[in-house]
Amino acid sequence: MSARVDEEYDYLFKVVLIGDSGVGKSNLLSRFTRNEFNLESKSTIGVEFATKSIQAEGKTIKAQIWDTAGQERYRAITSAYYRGAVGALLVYDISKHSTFENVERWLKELRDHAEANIVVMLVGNKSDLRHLRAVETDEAMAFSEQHNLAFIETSALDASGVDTAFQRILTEIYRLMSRRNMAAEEAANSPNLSGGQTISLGADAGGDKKGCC
Amino acid sequence: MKPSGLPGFLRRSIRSVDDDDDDHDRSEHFQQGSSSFPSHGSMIPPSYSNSRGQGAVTELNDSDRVQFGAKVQTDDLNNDLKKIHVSDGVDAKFRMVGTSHTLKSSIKKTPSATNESKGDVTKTADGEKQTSISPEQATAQSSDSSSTMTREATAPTRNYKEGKFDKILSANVVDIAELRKLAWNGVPPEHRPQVWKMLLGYLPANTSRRSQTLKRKRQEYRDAIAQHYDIDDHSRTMQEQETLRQVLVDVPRTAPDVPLFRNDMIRQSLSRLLYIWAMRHPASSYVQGINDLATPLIAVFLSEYFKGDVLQGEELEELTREILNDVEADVYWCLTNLLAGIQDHYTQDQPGVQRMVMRLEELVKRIDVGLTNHLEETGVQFIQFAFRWMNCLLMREFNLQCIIRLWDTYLSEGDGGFETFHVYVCASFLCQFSGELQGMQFDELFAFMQNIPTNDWDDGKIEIVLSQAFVLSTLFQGSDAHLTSPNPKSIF
Repeated sequence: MSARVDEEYDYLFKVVLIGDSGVGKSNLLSRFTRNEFNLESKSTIGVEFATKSIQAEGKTIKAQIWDTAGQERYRAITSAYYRGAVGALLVYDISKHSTFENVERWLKELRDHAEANIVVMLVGNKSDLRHLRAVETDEAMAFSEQHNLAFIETSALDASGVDTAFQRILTEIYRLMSRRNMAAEEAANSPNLSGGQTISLGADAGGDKKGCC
Repeated sequence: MKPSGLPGFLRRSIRSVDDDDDDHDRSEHFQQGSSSFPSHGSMIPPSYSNSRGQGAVTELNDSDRVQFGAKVQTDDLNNDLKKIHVSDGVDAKFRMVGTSHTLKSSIKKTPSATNESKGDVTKTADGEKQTSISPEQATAQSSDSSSTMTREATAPTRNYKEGKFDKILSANVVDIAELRKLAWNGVPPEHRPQVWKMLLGYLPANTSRRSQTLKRKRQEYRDAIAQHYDIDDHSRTMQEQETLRQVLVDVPRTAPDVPLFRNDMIRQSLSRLLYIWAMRHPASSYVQGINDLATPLIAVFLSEYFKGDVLQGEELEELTREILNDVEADVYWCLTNLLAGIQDHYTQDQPGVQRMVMRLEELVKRIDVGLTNHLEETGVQFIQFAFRWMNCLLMREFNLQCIIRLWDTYLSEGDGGFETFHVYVCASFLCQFSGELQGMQFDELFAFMQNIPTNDWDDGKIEIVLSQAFVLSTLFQGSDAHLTSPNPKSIF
């Protein structure tokens, strides 16, 4: 079988890309995983998938990213992919205000179908379209603070912010998980003394894993 | 566009079964040259073509003028899934199994065969009434066991297949059942616009009714543009605005790799017809993927007006508004008829697509246990990759040229082509890669399935898939018990 060296990782995190159609989800994914951008990409039907490993706080984290179709009609199939996801990039297009207005609806989708403690990052894509900007950064930032979301602006076209976005959400997930694990361990063996314990994420840890969904 | 049929002398090896069929048209001997046994000029041995064809005949004689005509007019929202079940005799099944291997190996020769016959193709402006060979002539020639060279000299401009299409299409009332049989193996490019329009129930089989019908339908479409499209945005509901937005987002992303679809006029036509279709079919409205389905129709119908390679956008500067208006209207009605048969693919929760994915899974379970087990072990689910196969009818998997060839057969299959037969095609397509897939793990396998390497595929490879699909269909069609598990589980 094709057990490759780059399959070694400490953690496997499932992340979903959601948002209205045409906001650039697929290009964000291809820019992050393959450093590619396609001005003429076709619409995503159902879901697509790609992976990439990054380093965060000395650990190798493999991101398994599910790129979903934006159209309403596909909700039935795409929402099935929210299960088990630990992170979501909720993307809108800074040049189309309606895609920002729909963010609330997408948050509801997540509340209905995703894990309660999923980490959500609001992503304003197409930041290269300065002259067409319809959503001000301040407005989006205020919204994300109000809803307790991380926030970033990106451009899949000129690559700005893309790596940072994924790096930040994955690191955030990792930290959250470590904290939660630590707390769980402490609770489990509170009188115990010896520190320096390795944090294990059970099924998610270890190399050469299969897909987790 | 290449003619895809095989010259008879290459096809001879296909016939590895007893020749006990009731081959009516003895003119087919003509193709065989000095061969002593008769054979159809088709990928499928005649006995099978006949056994299927006859099943279709009984349906079609009734339905041709009445049902199809009615279907076009109603443009209804709740079109029932009309299914033509082509029954296959048991004997046909057995014989088919025996031939499948030979069939495949023979068809592989298609590309070279295509090149040979290419020189014979002469494109005509009206696409009709070129030198065709009458059955009498053909029989006379077949009894004369002369060489291939001599025969070509007697019919220098038309190859055999084109001659058959000429003949069928020049009748006052086209025999649709015969046309289906013939078209199953591929339609010559020059005949394709007319044949597709007939097989889709748009163009009447009766010559005398054609111009009248076209005129009426095209006018109806123009009225629909005025009613739905050329109106002020403020008079659209929120939902209509959203639909229009979605269409306009998707049109520039439709077949962007094909030069034809980068043309602004073409894009405008596509936007209009998709939006109007959505307005008239609120149960599904516009769903991403329907835009893809319009592209083969646009390319084929435009080809009627241009000699150059339409897909490459050649000669498009000569495209007039009048021509495009007619093409747009024709595409609209043909798309409407096509989608009427698969409407529940695009309604809420897309039950049609789910059903087809489930059927594909059941089918692959029966025919490729190794692959099924491997997919299960790696954790790849059919819905994850086959959803798109069904939703876009494999249009994302093949280039447009291949799709057009695929549709020749789908349209010949009747209403079941895009639904029932498509599942067999998907199974056959998947199994082409069985060996490779079984050597892959989740990530690699998934990446492969999202981008299956079909760049070098041509009509010949499509025909291999089609013939294998046909074998599967004769084995499993009508044997639903084979394909349903006792407790079908939801695929979501």
